[in-house]
Amino acid sequence: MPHLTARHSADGPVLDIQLAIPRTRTIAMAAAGVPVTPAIEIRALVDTGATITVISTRAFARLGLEGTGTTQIIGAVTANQPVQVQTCDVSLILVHKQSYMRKFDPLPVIIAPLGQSRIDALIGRDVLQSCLFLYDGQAGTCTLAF
Amino acid sequence: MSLEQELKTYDAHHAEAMAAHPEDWMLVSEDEVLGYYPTYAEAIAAGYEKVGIKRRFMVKKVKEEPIVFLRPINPCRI
Repeated sequence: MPHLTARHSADGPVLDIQLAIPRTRTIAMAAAGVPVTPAIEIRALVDTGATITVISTRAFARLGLEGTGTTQIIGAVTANQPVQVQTCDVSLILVHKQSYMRKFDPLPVIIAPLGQSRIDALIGRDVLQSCLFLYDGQAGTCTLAF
Repeated sequence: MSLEQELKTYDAHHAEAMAAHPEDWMLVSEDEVLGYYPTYAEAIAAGYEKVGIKRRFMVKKVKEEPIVFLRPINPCRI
């Protein structure tokens, strides 16, 4: 089964993935004569507590994306009151040994500043629901099979 | 990247949308509702087809449940 494996970092289970402009947007950009930014490589933290995937404002800017939606989130940080937040659509790409790739496209994601760490995405359960995630605490590794 | 106008349009049409399209995704650009679609992917594709990249558009679920977040992220608020 195609997969990504990494050793745990200080940040937790972090994997190298790709983000790209979603296909429907690239078609519209091509039709408008606008150059398309190629896919970028980022570090992503697997977050089983996230209902949907989050990308950093830094990755959002690097790809030149536009907000295409909003959603309501609720949690401790919002004092358990629903708050409207910005979303956009991306293409999230998992690559296995340069020979197989799995694209989630279009994937609606929340845009958030993720601090000074080098993490540019939180992979949420919207992606994990079609994958197998193994966290081996004793070996210090994690594997995402897709 | 503000979608304030689109949110106002969404709110203005929300009651009628809940009656007729509760499970669909609403496509809005500025003060106009451009359609209702059964999936997010179809609504996004229609947005790029009808609006393109020169103007803003917003896709939002009509019957929306708040998403619970355990991690203390600080997302970009509207």
